[in-house]
Amino acid sequence: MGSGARFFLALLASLLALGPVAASAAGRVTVTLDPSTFSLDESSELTVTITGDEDAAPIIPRVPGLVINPDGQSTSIRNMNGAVSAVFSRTYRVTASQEGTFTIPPIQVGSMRTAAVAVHVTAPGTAAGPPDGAGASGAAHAGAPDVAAAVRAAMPVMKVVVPKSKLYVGELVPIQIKAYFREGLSARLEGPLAAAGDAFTVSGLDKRPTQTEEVVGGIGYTVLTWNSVLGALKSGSYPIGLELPLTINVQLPGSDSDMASRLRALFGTASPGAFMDDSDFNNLFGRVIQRSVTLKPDAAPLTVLPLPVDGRPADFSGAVGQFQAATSVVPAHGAVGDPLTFKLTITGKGNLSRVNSDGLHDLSDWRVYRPESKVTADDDTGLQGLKTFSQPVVPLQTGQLTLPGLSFSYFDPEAGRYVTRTTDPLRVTVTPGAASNQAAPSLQAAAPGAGTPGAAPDTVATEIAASGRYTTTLQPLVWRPWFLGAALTPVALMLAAVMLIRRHQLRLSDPALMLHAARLAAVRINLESMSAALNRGDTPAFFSAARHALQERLADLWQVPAEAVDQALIAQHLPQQSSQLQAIFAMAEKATYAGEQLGTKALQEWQRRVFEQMDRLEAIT
Amino acid sequence: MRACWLLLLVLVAGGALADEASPAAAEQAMASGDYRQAIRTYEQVIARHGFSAPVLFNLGNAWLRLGRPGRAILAYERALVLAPGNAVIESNLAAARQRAGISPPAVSPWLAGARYFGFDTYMWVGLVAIWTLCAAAVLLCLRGPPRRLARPLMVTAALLLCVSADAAVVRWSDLYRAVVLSPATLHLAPAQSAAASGSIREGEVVWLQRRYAGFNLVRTADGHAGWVSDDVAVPIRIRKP
Repeated sequence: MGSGARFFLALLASLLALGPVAASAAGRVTVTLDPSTFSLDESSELTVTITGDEDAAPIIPRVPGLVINPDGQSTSIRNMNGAVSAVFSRTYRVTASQEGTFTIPPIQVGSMRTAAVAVHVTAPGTAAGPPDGAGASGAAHAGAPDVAAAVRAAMPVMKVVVPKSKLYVGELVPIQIKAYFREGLSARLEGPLAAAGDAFTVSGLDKRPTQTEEVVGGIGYTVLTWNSVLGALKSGSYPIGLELPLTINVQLPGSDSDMASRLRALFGTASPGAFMDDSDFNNLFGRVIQRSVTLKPDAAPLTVLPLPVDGRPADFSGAVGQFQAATSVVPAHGAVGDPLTFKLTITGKGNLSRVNSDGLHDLSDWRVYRPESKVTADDDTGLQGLKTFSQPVVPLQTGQLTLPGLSFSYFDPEAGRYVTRTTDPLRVTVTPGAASNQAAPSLQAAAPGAGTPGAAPDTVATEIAASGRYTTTLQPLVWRPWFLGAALTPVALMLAAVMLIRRHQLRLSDPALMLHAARLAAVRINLESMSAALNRGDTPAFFSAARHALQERLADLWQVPAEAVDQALIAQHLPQQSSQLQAIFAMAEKATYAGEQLGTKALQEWQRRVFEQMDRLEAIT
Repeated sequence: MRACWLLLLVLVAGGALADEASPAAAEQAMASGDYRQAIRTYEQVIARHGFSAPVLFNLGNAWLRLGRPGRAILAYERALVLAPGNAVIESNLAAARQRAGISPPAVSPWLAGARYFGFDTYMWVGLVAIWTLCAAAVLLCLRGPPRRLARPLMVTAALLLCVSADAAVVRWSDLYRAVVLSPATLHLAPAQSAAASGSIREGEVVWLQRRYAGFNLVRTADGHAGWVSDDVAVPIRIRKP
């Protein structure tokens, strides 16, 4: 039969089988055990697969002699001829406490149940037989895929390329860490590559790996490569501990569907190379499961040798590698008291962090300070570079002075022995400088070794007479409460003064207040005129002034124009004392218009009445 | 009669004590090379009368001659608080630093300029400026000649206030300086059993950050921080002991 005809028949069979498949997609549960036969020192994987919308937790029955513990779960979407369904898989680890044949009863999942599963447990050490398809599967349908085997087959591989098999403690070597992923495998990094264990340090894992393609044994791989540096921490034989968390999507062959089984039965194509083994067809009916895995290196343990005790120099500080040492002084000439910089430079390959030096010390002609170090790496891994020790030195004498050579020891792992490098002494010409005249006394005072009691040269400035004022505290003014008060007081005073001034200015510019003041002034002037008229005996002028004074006072009281104040208004506003006021007003009209003249005594009486009315009005105000 | 004798005895003893704790007695001890006695006497003078730049300077000299540069540096630093810029004190402070093997601290030009005057001098200038500014603000509310005087006064006072405030800000960290009296280990937590995070040398100047349970959190000039016992790093600016 030609391939075209076979495909046509398969398509037709698929259409025929679509009805039952669609019906079963509403919900189905299967259980598989892989392997179904295992020994007491092994375990088996029980997988409960739920197809459909229901994701109820399976109720695992107790089986005497077996221990069934949850081991993980996954979810995938299956597309079968356009019918999309969800597949929930829950995995359990099965171990046994005794030999024998057991039966795991049907597992209840929501409203569905699986078939019972037979388990064969053999004696420890006996190899478990190959997965028994019929016996291992407790599924309601035969032909369930071997999930564990598929995951194992798709599992990426990690390899560590180490240039040597034996290291010394403290030695650093460049390594390559490679993770191989089969072509077509879908994987996602869930975290950075991390070192595990306490035998080695691995640096540079935080850098982004390079991605390449490689073919190994005819199989294509995508390879992630990390270039790192491995450091040995303790002697012994240890594996390199690395962990890379991943999530992989494993494509399972489409052997668990009703349709695939029916097609196999229809065409009888279980043999290799037959129609059903065609990979495209398998993918068509296959499913994808997702697994979280941790990738670890597949490498033999590394041997770490201890550093030899014999021949270890006294100044060895733990540096392991190959190094060179050199010294310099900048500037090469100087004056007494001028600081120069002495530099010890260690270059090479190895653990530069353990390179150490005390620098120059105990020199009679020089005052030396503590050196400061700085590491400069030549490459990304930090394996190669230089470490510089900079030490300020100050000449104390003139002439040709010498800075002695320094020694530096390290362990050479290639040669397997300790090496000591010694630098040449440096000669420095020191001249008397302007600064030396001032600096010399204090420099001598600071010469090393002068710090013992009684031995210090008496070159510090002499004492000064302890006269003058004393202060009870060295605390700054700003921490003393009175100072804060002194700073806040002017602000408070200013605010108060500004407020008072503004208030005064506002009063001065208030029209009502200005009118009030003007009217009071007018009252005062009219009363004075009244008194003057009394003295002159001028009756009309007397009453005219009295009337105007009362008008101004009443106008201020009632907030009306002074001209508007007359007898009628007075009667309206002051009915009780209107008679007195009206009498004054009436007398004023008589004196003005009728020319009535009164004697001094009478005028004095009228003046008393006017003042009395003024006092009453003041009381009303 | 017995009471008179007793009173006389008390007066004589008091006089002797007063004489013993006088700066002159301390200077005499210094001259005779009895630095320990001189230190005791100077510390008694400080406890009785308070701080003075000459006394602190002489105390620093005594500590330095006794081979204790850390305590000498503390005394000189305190003397410089009272007599900022004094060349003699600065010279001896430099000598003490050299003896302690400590490099002169790197000082920015701004800080060096601000240190020309003492911190309290800036505070006094600022206080005067505040008073002047407030008076000028009041004058500004008035009319006539006082108002005309207000503006130049206000500008001058504002300038003085800005200068003193800037200098105070630049020098603010100076208020928290402390001197290390003995080499010590910096701890990660305020406990002797806590892990070490570094070390500090005698005579080194550190900055106090926080105090907790007999420990001070200090920051060194190169930025390291850690806890030390509070008798290790002693603040420069304190009250009378």
